[in-house]
Amino acid sequence: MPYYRNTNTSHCLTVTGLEDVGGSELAFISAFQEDPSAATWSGTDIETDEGTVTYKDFIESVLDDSVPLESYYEGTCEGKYQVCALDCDAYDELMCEAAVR
Amino acid sequence: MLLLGALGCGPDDPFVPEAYGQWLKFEPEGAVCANGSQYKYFVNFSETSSNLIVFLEGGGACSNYESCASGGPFNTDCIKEPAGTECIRDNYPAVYLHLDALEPLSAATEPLGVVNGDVPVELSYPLLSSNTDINPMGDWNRVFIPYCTGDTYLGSRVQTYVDPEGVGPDVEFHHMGHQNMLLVIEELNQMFATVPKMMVGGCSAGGVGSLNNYPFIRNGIRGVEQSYLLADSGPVVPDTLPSGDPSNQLGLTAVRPLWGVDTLIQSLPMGADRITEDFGEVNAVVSELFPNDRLSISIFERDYSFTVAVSTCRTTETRTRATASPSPD
Repeated sequence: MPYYRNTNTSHCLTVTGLEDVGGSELAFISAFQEDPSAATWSGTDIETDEGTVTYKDFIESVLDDSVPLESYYEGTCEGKYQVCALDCDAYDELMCEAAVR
Repeated sequence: MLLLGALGCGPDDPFVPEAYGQWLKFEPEGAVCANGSQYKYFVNFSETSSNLIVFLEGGGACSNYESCASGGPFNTDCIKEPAGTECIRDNYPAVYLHLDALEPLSAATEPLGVVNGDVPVELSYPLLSSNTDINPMGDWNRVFIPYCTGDTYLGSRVQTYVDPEGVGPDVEFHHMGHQNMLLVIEELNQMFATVPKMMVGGCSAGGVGSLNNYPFIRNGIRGVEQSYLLADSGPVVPDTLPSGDPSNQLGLTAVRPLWGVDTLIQSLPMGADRITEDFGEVNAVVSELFPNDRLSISIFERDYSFTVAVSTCRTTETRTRATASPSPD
C-alpha cells in the first residue's frame, strides 16, 4: 500500500505511471527509453528497511514460492493529499477538505 | 465455433494457436456486452512458456438510469448507439488509447509500440507487456479480458433501467460480467491443458472481478498447478470495519439484485451464506478455498475510489515500513 501517486489520481498500481515522470507524455517516453521499468512503475515505490520496493518487486515476491508473503505500507505521507493523512503530523482537516475538493 | 475450429477435429487434439506473440481475438458464443452485442477477449500466446496470466480490465460501474444510460463504465458507450453496435473494437489491444500529443512524435514513440499516438494495451497495463524488464510475467501466455458490462464482473442479469424523469427511453443493460467469465474460462481450459503457474489480476473493477471470479478461474482451468492473485485497487471490505464504523465503499448490497450477483455467490464451492450476509467475507472464503495459493490485494492509501474504507482501517501502529503477514492473506 503506497501512499499516493499522481497517475490516475492514485487509482491502480497496475497502470503505467504516465503522470509521475516529468509531467508530460514526451517526458515519460524519454524516461521509458532510458529505463523502462523505472518509468513504468514510478510512484509505486515504498521505502523499506531493506531498500526500495516497487510494485514490480512486490509481484516478483508474490511469484516466489520460497518466501513468505509480505505486506507493505508506505511510512511517509507525501504528495498532493499529504494534509489528509490520518496519522501524520501534517494532518489538517480544513486543508484536507480543500485538497479533496 | 471459432474455437472448435482452432482446436482441431477431435476432443483430444491439443489446441494450436493461429499465431504466437500477437493478440488474437476470441468471441465466446453467448457472451455479451452491455447492449447485448458480442463479447470479445484477447490472448497473446507464448512459444516459450506454459504459464498464464489472466488480466481483467477496470473501468467503473453503473447501477441506475443516469450512470448506465450515459454509458459511463468502460466500453458501454455502445448502449447509446443503435442495437448491434459493437462495444469492443477488434483492434482494442493495439489501439487501447489514443494520445493526440504523441501523434507527431512517432519516430520517438515507435520503439515503444506507440504509432501515430495509438497506445497499445501493453503500455497502459504493464502486466500485459511482453517486456520482461517491466513485467516479471512478460514471457507468459497473456489473456486480456476487456470490461463492457458495468458490473465489476459480478453480474448475471439483464436489467431494465427506467428514466426517473420519464423522458428518455428505457435502457436494457446486460450486466453479464460473471456469465461472460464462465464462458471465457471454458475456452481457456481448452486452450491451456497444462499450466505450471497462473496469475489472475485486475485493476479497479477488474480488481473486484479478479477476486470474486478467482474460485471459478482457479477451478475452471483444470491444468493449473500453482496459482496467484493480484487484486489491484478493488478491495472488498467487510460491512463493519475493525474500528467499528460501517463501510459502504461499494454499496454491493444495493447492487446485488440489479446485477444478479447472487448467481455468483450461490455458485461458490463454499461460503455462500457468509458472503450473502457480508460481502467482505469473500476475502476469507477465497483464502480458505485455496490455502496454498498466494493471494494478494494492492491499493494506494489515497485512492479516491476506495480511500475512506481503507484508510479508516489504519492505525499508527500499522504504519510500519514493511510488515510481514501470515501467508496467505
